[in-house]
Amino acid sequence: MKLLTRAEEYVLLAIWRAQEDAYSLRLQKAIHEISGEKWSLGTIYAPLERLEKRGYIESTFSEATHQRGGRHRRIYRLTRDGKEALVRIRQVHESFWKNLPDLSFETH
Amino acid sequence: MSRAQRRPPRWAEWILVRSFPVDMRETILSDFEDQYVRFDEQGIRTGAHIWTIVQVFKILKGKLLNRIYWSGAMLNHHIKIMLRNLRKSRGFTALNILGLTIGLACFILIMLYIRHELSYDAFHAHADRLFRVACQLPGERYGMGEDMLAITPAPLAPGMKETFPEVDASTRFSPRNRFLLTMEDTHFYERGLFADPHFFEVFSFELIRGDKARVLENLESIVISRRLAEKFFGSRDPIGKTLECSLGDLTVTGITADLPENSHIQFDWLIPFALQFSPEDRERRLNKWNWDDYYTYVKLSDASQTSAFEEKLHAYTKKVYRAADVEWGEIRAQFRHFLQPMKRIHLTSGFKYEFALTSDLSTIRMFSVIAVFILLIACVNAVNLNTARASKRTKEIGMRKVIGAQRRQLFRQFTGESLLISLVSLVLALGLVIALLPMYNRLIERSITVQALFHASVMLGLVLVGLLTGLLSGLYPALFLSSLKPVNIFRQRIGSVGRRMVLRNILVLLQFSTTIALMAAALVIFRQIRYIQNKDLGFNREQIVVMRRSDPGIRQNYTAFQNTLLQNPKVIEVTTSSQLPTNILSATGVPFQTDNGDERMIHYQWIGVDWNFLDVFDIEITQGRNFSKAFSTDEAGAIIINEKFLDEAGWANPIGKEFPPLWDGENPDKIVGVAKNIHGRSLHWEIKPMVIACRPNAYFLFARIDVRDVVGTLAFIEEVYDRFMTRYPFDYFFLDEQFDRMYGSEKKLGRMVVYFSGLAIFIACLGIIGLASHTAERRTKEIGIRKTLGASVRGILFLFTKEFTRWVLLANLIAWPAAFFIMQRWLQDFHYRIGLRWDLFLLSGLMALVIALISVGYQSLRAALARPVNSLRYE
Repeated sequence: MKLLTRAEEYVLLAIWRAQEDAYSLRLQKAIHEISGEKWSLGTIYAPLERLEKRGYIESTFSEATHQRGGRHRRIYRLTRDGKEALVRIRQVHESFWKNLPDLSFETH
Repeated sequence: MSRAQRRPPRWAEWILVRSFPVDMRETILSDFEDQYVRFDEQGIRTGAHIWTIVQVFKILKGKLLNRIYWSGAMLNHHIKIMLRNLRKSRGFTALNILGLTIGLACFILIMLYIRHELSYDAFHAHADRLFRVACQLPGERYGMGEDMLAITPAPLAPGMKETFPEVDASTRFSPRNRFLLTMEDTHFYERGLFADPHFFEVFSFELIRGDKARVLENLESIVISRRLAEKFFGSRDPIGKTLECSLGDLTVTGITADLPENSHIQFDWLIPFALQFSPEDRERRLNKWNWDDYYTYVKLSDASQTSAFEEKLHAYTKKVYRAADVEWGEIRAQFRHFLQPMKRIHLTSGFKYEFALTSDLSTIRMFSVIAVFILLIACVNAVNLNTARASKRTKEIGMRKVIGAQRRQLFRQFTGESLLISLVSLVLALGLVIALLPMYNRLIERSITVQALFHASVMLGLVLVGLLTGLLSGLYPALFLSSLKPVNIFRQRIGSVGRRMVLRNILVLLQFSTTIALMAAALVIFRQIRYIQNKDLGFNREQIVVMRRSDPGIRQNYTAFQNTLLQNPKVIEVTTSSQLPTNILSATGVPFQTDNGDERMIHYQWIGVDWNFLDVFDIEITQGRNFSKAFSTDEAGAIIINEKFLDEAGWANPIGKEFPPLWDGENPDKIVGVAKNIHGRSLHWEIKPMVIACRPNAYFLFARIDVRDVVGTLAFIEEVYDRFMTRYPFDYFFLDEQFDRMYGSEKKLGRMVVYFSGLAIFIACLGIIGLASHTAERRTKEIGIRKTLGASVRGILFLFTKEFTRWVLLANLIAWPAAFFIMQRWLQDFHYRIGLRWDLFLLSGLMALVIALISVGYQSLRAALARPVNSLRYE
């Protein structure tokens, strides 16, 4: 099984974080808040589509709200596979970060 | 702010919906809306809008770039394939381009001519408000076959200006074709106008020197053209210099710029109108209401009310004619003066006494039709060639379709190819037109410049025509090719390509109908011209040198001059007359008493002649006698009428009848004889009653000379002339040449029809050569088999030509009635004309057939002679 890319990872994490409210703009906002990076929607759509194809996430349409123009929102949710993929990438990250020489800058 | 408004603009949504795949639309639209609403909630509506616009722009930009990239790639590909194809079938391509080029060149040339003809007199400022006053007579008065006159009395122009506030300006002039101008030792006969001082108020001719309002103010002034100024003065300044003429010395007051060629008024000099009359007679002539000899032009303040104005004008002239103590006042009161729009004079004025060399609308129509047909023939060629060639490309089409080309794309590919070919042809045609323009100008007797081509509207028109040609010639092949089914192509079931001959044959049929009709038209025109040239006019017009007796030295010593000429045996006879016998223009109508006492109006032409005129011209006397010096009363007292006159008057014994005074006299003339009818006018008109009056010493001087040593005789005549001449230099022409010139427009028409029908035939031939070679190629194997089975070369030739022959023969059935109908109408203009005989049509049909067979023949022969081994071996 292929590892998640960084973008996929962020998107999955953002979905997990937003839980019931996980729609594209919310994800964009979350990524911006945490990483400080402004991703365009197009940048988010691509991993979303990939993840959904691989079965890591699934999407449903929300009830139409009156607050908006009456359009459905696409709400994303992590699947079991998705959660497993997140756990696995985290393990990989942590293994990489373990037993490294000191990374802090030396001051001479 | 209502909720409904919190939505992105609909147009933006509309674009978005169309820009993304179906399964993404919902998400994207919803996100787009969310973003929009977010801006909106922050209360920055404009911000939301700007954002929307930016987003949409970004989307479109991406899509557009994408499309451009791919269409570029495809275009590249298509061009490559097309060039390969064109190269592979070089012969076809050449035929195709050649046909279209010639077709387009013909079309452009004809259109240039038509455009030129239609552009006449449009250069005048307010050309729409300019009119010429013409006159309609009550019924036929002058016996000339028309009752519309271009001429009016002299006082009409100032009278109209005074009477009608609607008239902004009015002017009058009388043209002279040959007027002698002299400066010291240089003499030139030049054409010009006696024009009144308001000339430049009405017309917008440019002056290089002089003030438009003042140049014609003084009686002894003259305005000359730049051309004439150069001829007389070279580089010296002509203003203030003196030119002599028969009316006295004139001071040059102005110089006109070169006149536009598309002006029906042409002149090299302008002399004040009043000066043409002698001082003692001037007042009377300027106010003479019963003498029509002048052209009146007006500028109206409002061109929309012409019919109401014409009514008022009629009321006015009626009053004037009745009130003025003029001869024929009551008859003249019935004359209706009317307005002839300036811009239409060139094409619609076939009026009597028209001074301008006008053209006519039917010629223009005829040529428009020819132009369109030639172009159609060229298009038909292209259609045929394209479809024929296409059958070799079916595999390509099948392959493309299998790979996934849509019909639309294929359609575009093939139309694109024919568009390109037609545009290439257009460029070549333009080159051809530019190269041929000088020759063409000689043919049409105009001088169209290359610049006319580069006019914006012409260019646009040309591009449109090019596109249209491309579409016309590419549409059918494209539709047909793109409709082919790959399955059929690869299973070799495309026999249909070959068998779709019906449409192609119908097109060939149309081509040949057109060419046969054109040929028939050319034949008719030429036969009519030949008929005219061989027609017995009732007098002998050969070997006659014509001079004018303008010179006082010649006029006063006429007898001595005549006798000196006759001393040379090569000068056979010398005589004079008031008019050219080929073109007798003076005419009038007078009531006569018939034998039973009735009064009958007879309109007749008249001519004043010398004693020996009838002998010199071999005009036969049928009753009575010729003029003779033996009768002292003959001079200015005797007339001879023609048989037609006698018919109309119905007199049992015309000899000795008294005739009311003619144009010049107080005393009545006596009829002394009856002469055979002669054609005193162009053969367009019927022979009219004619009066030949004994008036020796008239304007035209004729010398019949021996055909041997014409040059020497002419030199002799000139030498004698110079001995007597005081002022007017020697100038002559031959009567038969003048006669031929009267039919110049017919000859021009004939020449143009011949050239263009020749080209049409050529194009059509290109087409059938292409078709024939295609058929030959396609049927190689068939021929091989036939020959193996024993078919003869002749049999195969027959097989091949049979098809074409059938359609060409059928084309006759369409062409003949069409040509008959059109040429019948054309001939109607001639009172004396040829009949449309069947052999004429048969001949044109036969010519077409022969040409078609020759074109097909070579290809067929080659196919028929080929050895079957070669054609069958490749199996």
